[in-house]
Amino acid sequence: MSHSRIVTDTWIAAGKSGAAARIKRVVGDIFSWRFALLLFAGAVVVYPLLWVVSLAFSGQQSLQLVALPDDAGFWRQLAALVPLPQQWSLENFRAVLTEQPFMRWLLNSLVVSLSTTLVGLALSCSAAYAFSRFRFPGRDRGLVLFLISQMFPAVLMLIPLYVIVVQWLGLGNSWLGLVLVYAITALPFCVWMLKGYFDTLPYEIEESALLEGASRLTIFYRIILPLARPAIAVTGLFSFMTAWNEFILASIFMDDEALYTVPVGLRFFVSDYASEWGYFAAGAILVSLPVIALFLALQRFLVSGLSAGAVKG
Amino acid sequence: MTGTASGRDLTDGELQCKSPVRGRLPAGHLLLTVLFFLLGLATQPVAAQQSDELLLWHGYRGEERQALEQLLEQYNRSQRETRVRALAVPFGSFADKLSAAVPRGQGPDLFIFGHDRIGGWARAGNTVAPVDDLVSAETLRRFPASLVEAMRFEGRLYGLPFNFKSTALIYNRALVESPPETTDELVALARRHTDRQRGRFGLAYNYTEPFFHGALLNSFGSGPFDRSGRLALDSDGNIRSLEQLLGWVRDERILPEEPNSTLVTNLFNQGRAAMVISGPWMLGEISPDMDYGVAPLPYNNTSGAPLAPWTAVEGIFLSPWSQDRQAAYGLMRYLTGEAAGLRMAVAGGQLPANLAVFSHPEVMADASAQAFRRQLDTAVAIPNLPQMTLLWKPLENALKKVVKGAARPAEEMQRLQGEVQRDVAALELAQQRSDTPRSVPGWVWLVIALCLSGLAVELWRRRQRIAASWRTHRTAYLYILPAMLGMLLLVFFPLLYGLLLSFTDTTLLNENTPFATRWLGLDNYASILGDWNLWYGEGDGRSINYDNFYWTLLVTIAWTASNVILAVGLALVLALALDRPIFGRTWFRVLLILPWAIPNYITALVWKGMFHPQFGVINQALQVVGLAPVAWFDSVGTSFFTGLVTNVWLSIPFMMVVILGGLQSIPRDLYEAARVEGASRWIQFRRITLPLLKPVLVPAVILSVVWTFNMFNVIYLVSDGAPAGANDILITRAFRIGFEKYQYAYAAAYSMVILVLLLCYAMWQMRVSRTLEAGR
Amino acid sequence: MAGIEFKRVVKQYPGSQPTVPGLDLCVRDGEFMVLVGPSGCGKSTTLRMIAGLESVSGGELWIGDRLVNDVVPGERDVAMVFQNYALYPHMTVFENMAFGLRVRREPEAVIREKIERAAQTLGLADLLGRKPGQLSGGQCQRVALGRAMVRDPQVFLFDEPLSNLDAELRVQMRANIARLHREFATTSVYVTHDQVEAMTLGQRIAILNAGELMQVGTPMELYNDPDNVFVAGFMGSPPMNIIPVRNGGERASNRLLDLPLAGLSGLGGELLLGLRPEKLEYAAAAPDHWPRLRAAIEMVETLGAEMLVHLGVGEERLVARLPGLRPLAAGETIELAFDPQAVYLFDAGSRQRIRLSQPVGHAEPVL
Repeated sequence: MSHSRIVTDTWIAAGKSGAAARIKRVVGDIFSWRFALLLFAGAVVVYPLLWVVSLAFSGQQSLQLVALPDDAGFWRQLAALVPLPQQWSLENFRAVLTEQPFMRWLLNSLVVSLSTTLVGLALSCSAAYAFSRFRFPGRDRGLVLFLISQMFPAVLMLIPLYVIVVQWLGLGNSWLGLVLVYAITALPFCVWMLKGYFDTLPYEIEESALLEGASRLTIFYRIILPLARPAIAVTGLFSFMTAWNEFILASIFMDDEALYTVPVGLRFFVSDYASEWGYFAAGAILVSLPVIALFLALQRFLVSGLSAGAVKG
Repeated sequence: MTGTASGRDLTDGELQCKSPVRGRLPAGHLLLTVLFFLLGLATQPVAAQQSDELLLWHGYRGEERQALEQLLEQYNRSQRETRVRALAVPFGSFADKLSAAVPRGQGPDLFIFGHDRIGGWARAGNTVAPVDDLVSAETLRRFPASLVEAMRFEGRLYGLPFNFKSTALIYNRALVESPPETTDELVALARRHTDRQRGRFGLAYNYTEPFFHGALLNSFGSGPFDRSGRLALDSDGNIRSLEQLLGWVRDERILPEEPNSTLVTNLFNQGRAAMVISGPWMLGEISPDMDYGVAPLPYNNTSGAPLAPWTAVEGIFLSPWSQDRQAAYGLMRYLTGEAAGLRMAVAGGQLPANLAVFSHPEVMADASAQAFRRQLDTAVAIPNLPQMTLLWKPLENALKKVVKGAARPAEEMQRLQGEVQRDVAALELAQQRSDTPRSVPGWVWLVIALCLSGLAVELWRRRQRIAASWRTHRTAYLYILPAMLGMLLLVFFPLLYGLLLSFTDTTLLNENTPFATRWLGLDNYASILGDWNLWYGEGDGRSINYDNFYWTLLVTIAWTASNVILAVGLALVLALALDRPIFGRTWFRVLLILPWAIPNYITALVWKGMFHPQFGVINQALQVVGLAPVAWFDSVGTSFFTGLVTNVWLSIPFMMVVILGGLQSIPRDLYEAARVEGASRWIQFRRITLPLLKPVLVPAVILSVVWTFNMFNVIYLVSDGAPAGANDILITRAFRIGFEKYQYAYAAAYSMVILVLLLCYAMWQMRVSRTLEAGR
Repeated sequence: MAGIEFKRVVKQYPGSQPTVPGLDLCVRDGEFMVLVGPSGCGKSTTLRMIAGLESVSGGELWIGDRLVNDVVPGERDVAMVFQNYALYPHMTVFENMAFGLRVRREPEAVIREKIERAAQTLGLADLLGRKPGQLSGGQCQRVALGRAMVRDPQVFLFDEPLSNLDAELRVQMRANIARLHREFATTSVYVTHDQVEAMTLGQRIAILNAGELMQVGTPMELYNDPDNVFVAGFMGSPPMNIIPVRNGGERASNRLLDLPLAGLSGLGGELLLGLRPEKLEYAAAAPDHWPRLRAAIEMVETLGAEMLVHLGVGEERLVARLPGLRPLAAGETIELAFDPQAVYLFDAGSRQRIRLSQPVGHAEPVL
């Protein structure tokens, strides 16, 4: 009996000291300069976004301008800088969701963006793999060629893209045209990032698999892709967002409101004469939610060094 | 083989290329899957346009859209011959969609759009069809002469007027008992209600917008063009209108600074603006508990005529490609009829061009509508000359300069006259040239032929090497092929198009003429690169010519360098802070990535709002800590700063993620080794972190430079090049040339220059990093 | 199982000197062959050509009775253990070992059985569920070995598998590998730059230098009967002393020694004389007819039972491995003797061994 009690006691004591150590560490963290820096950076990042949020939840189209009396104290002045709506309301969200086929557009966007991600990754993974693993004439030039596409102002590509996609390929009013254009737009970034990551994967792993009789296909699927997951997550996310936020091509290519993507729907709230910023903010938040969810889901991968430990031995 | 390929690379390249590939290419397989998937996407039901279906594009939303759709539904029910299908297009892309689709034989049968583009469309051809032959005199009698006249260009009628919009005086009944009859009364009233300390203003309107300034401008009678349609911006009346505005802003101080429509609405809704000048579009945004009245704008004592706001007419236009003009005209008649007008007025809150509607009891009861109707009697339709579209932005810049005291009205208008005159002349010259048949000069064909034959000879000479290269590196090429094909089609073809365009003098007015008649050669490049007009004026009065290519280039380089350096530096600091475990690390990481997740369109606008000189939180915060507020958009430096802050804020997340990834791949034992050797934190950072980050940093920096160089949204939305285009970067300048001055070819040449500059940069950067690598 | 044969095999990268200019080598069936040589000598390239990871630029490469020049690596039925293990970091130990078998579509039960057997043999049974990141270097290498073993290939290839391990583990793993080879007798080719590893593991050793095969033979053959200075200097630790001497026709001499030798007259004026450190003895205990030499001690490395004595006269340096009978100090002068029979002679120009018809050391020694 006594023996077991002693054991338990020491165990608890150990647990306690563990908790104490943890608390101490947390406190130490909180009072470190790094924490202060992160806190400050976080505030700077979030502050403008809070304006969007509070506008969205204000139920109005614009936030109240702060009217301060001349003799307002320091704290009242400071309080005026806090982005809070005068009253909270879901009216903007209701209007955005009900007055337009917003959910339908969201769904459209999801299909288009996911397809873009898929097509973009398929194209960029294979190209990046070649750029990383092969030495062939024209390799360097090829890499630069990919970059060139980012150098020409997109606004001036509008008409030629229309000519190609709608007139030549007959892909007007079809998501396929959009998907292709988006995937190609995101391609240079994806190729460059993936190539960089593939470069860090050791050759021996592939050689080993090759010796074990795996086909290139198997190696690509079972070895390279799983190992490059972090890079694929990042580039996939990038392709997704390229498609998710694009508005002008989507509204020019689509001739059917049921096929519009959600950024097109959002822009209905903005016009030269009067803009409904409250709706726009609410819509923007709705539009951002899936992306934020993706970020949360992928954040483990975003900066992961999966292969670092094991491979480099 | 590349010079840098190490032995190791060679071996592996060898391996990949030589070992026969038995299985299908992974890429090929992946692509196949994707292809099937895409076929699924392509076979989605595409609403086929039946021959008897009329397609109508419009930019309405909300109530007005519902009203229009109800009308169309009714129309579809009322007859069997034609079915009408409507497509709403967001305002921001409507013009682009029209100019992309209609000249190419695509697009709708009918579209509803502002009338001020008629001149440009008519001159260019292929965009809008004249309807004189369809419209009966009886139908025309539905509309007041001024609105019909607005739809006419060079004697032909293009479309029917549908709705009209103009500004009028909207006043807060709680503050203003009866609306002022004259501008003297207006000013006196406004002064009484102005208390700048408390942010109260007697009058608020978007006075730096030319559309709103029209009221003053037109009351002096002259307008931007003289009777023969020639540009006359520096006319006495126009200058006096500016002087009067200047008096209101700087002497009477009855107007808020940096006005925009959101601010005006906001001030009015909070009872902080006694009167505003705005249009019917604002009525929907006035808060329900506000008791307001609408009245026509007062008589202008200074000019001796009533204030005469500009009227924008929403016309129904017919596409030249419409299959069934009669059916289309039927719909036009229906929509401009009295019943339809009534619905648009009552349910849609519009002001129908069919004035009979205003005598209808339901509309009679609407005091606001009647006030706008009365305003129409003195209002002036916006000139629909093609030159008019060139005017908006330069006039806006001039207005801003004048009200900020940066220029005197007379001088500024003279300068403006010269500037716009040049733009107009450029358009007209191009058109005149296109009118005379020309052909591409022989030497061009010669050059092309020489290039092609040179290429062919070269290919033939190297055929064996190319064939051998294909054989040895077939796998590699096959992997890259799909991506390259895509790039070829969707990037390099448009690029070639841009290149060809840049050798022409294509503008809005001659874009649909044959290519050969537009051929110009290298003139565009010569005039961009030879643009040495660095200064305006002479002697002490001279100032930098902000439209100058080299100034813009300088700004662009400063913009790119400062952005990238700051973004990389700050991202590096944050990444280092996040690299090691810390309390709440995961949350910070997500938090700091957020700006990446929100569309930059809206965050850029939020930043613009935060920098508002009077109501922005940044100036308020400055005042809280006892500093003077800054007029952010008035000087080159501060305006630059607004864009910089916004863009750095936007680009840090990407950089941070890239750097974090790089940091995690640095083996920890290197740091331990360095610590053992007594290296300080700084040395560790310099000797280990930075060099090992380079592989991830170099591509990220190159990409980031390219992106920042072409960062259109932030400049356009935040500072909009303020003041007076001084902070425009090359791409916004190219955009302005293309879409505000309509000199497409010149804009294309500008873009090609951008491309070449960036290409040079990328080559240089890669060479530098390669030599650095080799030196290690 | 199968032997491996190189017939005039050439490896050349475009635009550079051949890495392997023309190799003839035969690895017998079931043999454990070690390829050894300094780094950059082409041993890894040779190994990788067997694996198929490098193409063969010329000549013929046979595994068993198959010409494998154009056979893809996966179909050569060889297994390879890499220096950095090349384990798949995203798979568990079990999955790592199962990968090749699954690729070959072996039944899952067979896979399990094979892996369990291999895991038993290698002491990995407890680690099957772990990922490579959670293993130590030695464990990783055992997994890599196991992965090769379960495949039961015709040929095992080892590419410096032990060089990332610490000394103790290396000895242990060496024993492991030797035991496995005894058990399974699979043809193995083992690349290393470490001659101790080569001596202990190899049934035969092939020494490569700059792509050329210097000599093939059993460890003892190479040790006792080197064909050239390179092999002589490579085998043995510390390596054989190579001393330049002048050929006086009847004697070979330099500042350190003067050795009467018969049959030198037909040879060049400059010779290299090879003498293993362990062949030097204290002059006092040596037979009288052995040549002597006197030199100052520069440094002494004490190994316990014996010591390595570094001697120097002018430019000449010499190492002797002597029993630790008495303490020696630097600066002391010492007199040593050696069996003239143990002297090797090399041509200074070609650096090839000169095998004299009559044994060395006939003449009366001086000094």
